[in-house]
Amino acid sequence: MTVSGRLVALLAVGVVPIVWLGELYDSAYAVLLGWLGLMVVLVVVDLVLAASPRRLAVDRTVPARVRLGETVASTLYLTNTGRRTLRAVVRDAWQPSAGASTTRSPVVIPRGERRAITIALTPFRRGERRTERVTVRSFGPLGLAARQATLRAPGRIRVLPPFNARKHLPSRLARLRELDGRASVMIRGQGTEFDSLREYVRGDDVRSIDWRATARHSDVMVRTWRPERDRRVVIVIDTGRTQAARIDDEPRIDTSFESALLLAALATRAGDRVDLVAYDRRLRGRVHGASGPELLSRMVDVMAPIEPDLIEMDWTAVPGLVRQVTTQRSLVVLLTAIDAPGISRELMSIVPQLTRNHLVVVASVTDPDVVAGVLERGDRDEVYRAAAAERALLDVARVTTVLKRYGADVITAAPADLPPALADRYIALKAAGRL
Amino acid sequence: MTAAPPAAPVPPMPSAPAGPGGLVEPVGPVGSGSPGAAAVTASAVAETPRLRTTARRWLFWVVVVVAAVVFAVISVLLTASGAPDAERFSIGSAGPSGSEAVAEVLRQQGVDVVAAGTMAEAVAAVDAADGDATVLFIDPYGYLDDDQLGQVGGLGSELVLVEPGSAELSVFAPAVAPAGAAEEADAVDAGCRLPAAERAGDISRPTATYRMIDAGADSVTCFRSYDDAFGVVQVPGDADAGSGSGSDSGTVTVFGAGDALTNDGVLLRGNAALSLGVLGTHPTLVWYMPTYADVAGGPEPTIGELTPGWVTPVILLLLVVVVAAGVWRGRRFGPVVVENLPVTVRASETMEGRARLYAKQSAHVRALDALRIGTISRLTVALALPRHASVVDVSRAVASVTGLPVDQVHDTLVGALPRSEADLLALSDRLLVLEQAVHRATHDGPPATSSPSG
Repeated sequence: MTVSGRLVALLAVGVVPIVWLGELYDSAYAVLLGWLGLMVVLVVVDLVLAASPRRLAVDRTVPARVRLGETVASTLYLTNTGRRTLRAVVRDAWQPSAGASTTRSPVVIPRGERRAITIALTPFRRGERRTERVTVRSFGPLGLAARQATLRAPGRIRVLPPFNARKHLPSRLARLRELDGRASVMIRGQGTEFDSLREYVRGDDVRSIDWRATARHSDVMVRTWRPERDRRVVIVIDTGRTQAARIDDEPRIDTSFESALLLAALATRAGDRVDLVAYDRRLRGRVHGASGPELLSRMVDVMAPIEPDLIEMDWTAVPGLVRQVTTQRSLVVLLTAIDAPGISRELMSIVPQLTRNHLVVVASVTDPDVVAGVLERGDRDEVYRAAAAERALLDVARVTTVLKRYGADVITAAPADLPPALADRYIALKAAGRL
Repeated sequence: MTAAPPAAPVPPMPSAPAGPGGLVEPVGPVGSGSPGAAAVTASAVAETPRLRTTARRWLFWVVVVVAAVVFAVISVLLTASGAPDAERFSIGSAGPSGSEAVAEVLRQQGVDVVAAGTMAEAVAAVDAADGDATVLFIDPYGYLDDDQLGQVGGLGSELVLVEPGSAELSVFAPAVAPAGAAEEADAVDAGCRLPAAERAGDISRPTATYRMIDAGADSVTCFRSYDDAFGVVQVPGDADAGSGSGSDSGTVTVFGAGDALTNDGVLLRGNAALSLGVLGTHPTLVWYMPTYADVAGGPEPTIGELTPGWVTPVILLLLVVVVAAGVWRGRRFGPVVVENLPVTVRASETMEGRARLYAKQSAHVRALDALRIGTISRLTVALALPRHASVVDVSRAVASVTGLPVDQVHDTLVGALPRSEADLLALSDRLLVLEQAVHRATHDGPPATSSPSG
């Protein structure tokens, strides 16, 4: 049970009769006792007349998924199965990061009726957001005291990665379309396939004229080529401890997710098959054999609950994982953090195994703070800071050099720039027919 | 392309987000086919234990606390009723300094011993005895003022002052003055013609002695301690002292042998004989020990008496209000919701830490090395030199592009050794200037704003 502010106010009002009657009849103590007794009686009457908060059936509808930053409505249905009218304040105990617009709603439910309480959820963290309980505070007719009970009513909503990088998608798709149907000589070779025949227009390379087709038609025909389709793209996301670090107030893993989503969206439109593996020392998530819109929905679903673990990434298992996905030559994208050589030693040791069969791209976030720190040399502390920043960049450069020597492609960029940079590299590789 | 559409569309969902307090809308009675939820009539499972369960869980402790409180109250009551009255000369006290023994013996001898704590009680007791009473007066704290002392002087037919101070003596027996403590001695002889003293023979050493300053004919001095200091002095009553109810022809006995009245000392030597003889001359003995209630004009009114009667109840009510407000605000609205929060690690922390290490160790050579390597690698890229070009090659290229002397460029890039932090700062600035010069020369435009490539 609990009491309301109304009871506190009413108790305080007791000062008036105590002073007044106490002056008149010199019986302040008796008045005090009488007032307190009256309050106790009122509270007991109120509690007895309050509807039981336990006689309440709870049901809820919550959308299964929401993208981070968006708002959805969650509805709680309360049915009064008791005999009295329920006047209550209801708390739906969502986790704080579910971003509920309110967790306390006043409600009046006559006997046998049902009410819906709709609140807006604007989650501000990725992952699974839950509510386990509904607490009902049922006030009596006087509103002085309330009976309180907590009811089990679990609900959950999966908060998907925001995929802010989708704003880069239209421009990249447009560039991808430009690749199709380009005159053959530009890109003809390994990694391109025959697309169609069309009439010769001025400016086409004469070497792309298909003479046999020209003989069959009355016009001069040229062959066009398009990038080879049905290539495989394997995205490996490191979920180890280095991915927990925040750069520009975004954990590295979120940048990795954004990059992976943009690349997957692009690659599936280009007709390639995309597989996703999230791994640290155990398989954290995997998407295999999906394509089109289903691919992205499955990817965000898999990514949603993944938080970086505070353990070291086990790179030695990665070649095996890639082999499980495909033995075909494919584009392997490793989304990780390139740090000092000591930390990245394992990564460097397995890259040759991958480059033997696959085209490997390593994508890593660089810290804009470090890059900016290099040029700030105002005072003593800033010069030392610049030296430390140079040293950090040098470490990254050394790892990058080694990875490039082993045949991997390395992309480093600030968090906001990494997804489009990776997409551009994919398009460049596609255009060059290297896939 | 969207990430994922929400699952099955939810029936009656308002498109606008709910306002504060949520949006409450009636859905209709149970089973009216309202969408979204099937007709539910079973109550939800409550996690809060019922009152009965809670009561059962706490029963043991309630019993323990109640038992402890009852035990404490009972023991306090028992000890309070048997609390010893430790006042000296109190006839209710059986302790060493009390006087119960003397009073009891006198009662056995037929003397009506009446204890009086206030002037009113003393007057009433004397009146009850028709004035034929001995008044024993002990006022070690000096509660009474001169007027009240005068009133005491008029009481009874005989007045016994036990260890009086000079204030009492000046009222009751102006001829007697205190003579300080008695000399060290096991006993003092009576040496006088007072019947009680003669019967006693000798008594233990008196606690206070008195001397006559104006020896009258009827005064008797007994138990001489030294020179003219006596343990007991009897003088005739002062006829001028007030208008008492008793006769004014009584005597005033200044009784310095206080130990003779206590339970502890009454049995020594002739103490018992002396005290019984002095106090037992009349059928009634009023044992008057003034208390605080006798203080002239009554006690000063306390703040408690000055404040109106409703103040304390109002304070109590406000206390109850505070407790109720605490319950109102402090009652938790259901259990706390827990959530695992992510760690917040800024990636640049390692860089900052390394910078602080450099600064702490004043590692200016090492710091400058890092700066120079960075500059040289950027210059190599800017000047399109091979990646493994030596510093000399870079210096030459820079000099040829910018027109600076080769020696100076070489000195900046590798030659000069910093001896202090001032050197470090100067060289760092020179490196930046060099980079800007090369950038200007190669780009023919405004100075570099682009960040160095990682």
